[in-house]
Amino acid sequence: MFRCPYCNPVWMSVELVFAAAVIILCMLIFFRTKELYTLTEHKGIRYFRNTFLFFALAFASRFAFHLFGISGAGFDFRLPPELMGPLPLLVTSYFSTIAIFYLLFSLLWKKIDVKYFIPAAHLLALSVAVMIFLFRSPQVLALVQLMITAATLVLAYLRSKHSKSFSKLFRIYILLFIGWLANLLVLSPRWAIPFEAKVASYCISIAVFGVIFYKVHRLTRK
Amino acid sequence: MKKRDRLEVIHDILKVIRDNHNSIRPTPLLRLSNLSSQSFNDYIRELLDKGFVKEIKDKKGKRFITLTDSGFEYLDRYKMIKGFIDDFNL
Repeated sequence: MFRCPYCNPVWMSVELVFAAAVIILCMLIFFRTKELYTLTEHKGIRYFRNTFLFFALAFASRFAFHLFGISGAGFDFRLPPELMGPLPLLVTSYFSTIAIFYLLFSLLWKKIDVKYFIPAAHLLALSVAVMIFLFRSPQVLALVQLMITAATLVLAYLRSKHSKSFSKLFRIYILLFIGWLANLLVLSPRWAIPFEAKVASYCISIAVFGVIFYKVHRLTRK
Repeated sequence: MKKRDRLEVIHDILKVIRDNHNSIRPTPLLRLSNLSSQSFNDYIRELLDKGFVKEIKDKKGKRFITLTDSGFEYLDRYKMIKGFIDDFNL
C-alpha cells in the first residue's frame, strides 16, 4: 500500500522543527562572526563561517523539500516521485560535504595554499552528490564524509595537542563528529530506524550546533 | 623570537599610532613597527584601503598617520579576535 510520507503530521512537524532549528543556529554562527571577518579578513575565520553557511544551506534544502512534500499532500501540486526521493539527497549531500571540506580548510590554510583545493573540493562534493543521486546510495556519502571528518579530527588533534587550547578545541571537533554521526541517522530512510532513535539523533544534532553557537557567542560578545 | 602573524603586526602598528596621541609621522612609525620598509608600505596601504588609518597633512604640508573609528574598533576588539582564533585554532 502506498503511504504518503508527508501525510504524517508528527513526522513532518519533527522534520521541519529540526531543520529550522539547525538553520537558525548555523546562521546565527555565520552572522555572529561577520564583524570578526570584516575587521580581520582572516582566512581561517572565512572558512569557519563558510562551514556553517553550507550546513545552513544543506538543512535549508531539506526544509524546502519537506515544504514541497507538504504542499503536494495539501494541494494538487507535487514533484515527480522519482525526483522527490533522490533530489533532496543530491542537494543536501553537496552542501554538507562542502561544509565539512571548509572546516578542514579552516585548519589547513596556514600549511597549504587551499585556494587551489577549493575548486577541487566543490568538484568532489558535486561528484559525490551526483553519484548518490544516480545510485541512490547514502552509504557513499557516509563513507566520503566519514573520511573528511576523520581527516579534520586528526588534523585538529595534531595541530592543537601542544597548545593551551587543546582540550577546548578538540572537544568542539569531537562534538562535530558526534553531530555528523547523528546526521547520518537523519539522512537514513524513514523506515530504517525507529522514530524515537531518529528524534534522538535530531536532538543530538541540535545540541551540537547549539554548543558551538554558545561558544561563538561567548567568545564574540562585546 | 616568534614571528608575528598578520593580525599581530596590524595591532602593533595601530597601537603605536594610538600611543603617540593618535598622530605620527610615517618614518618614526616605520621604526617603531619593527618592519622592513617594503612590508611597512604594504601594511600601511592595506590599512588605508581598509579605512583603519588615514593620512592627514599639517599646515606645513607634513604627512601624519592617524587612526579612524575602525582602527580604534580593531584595537578594542583585538583581544576578542585573538581569543576566537586561538580557541578554534583557525
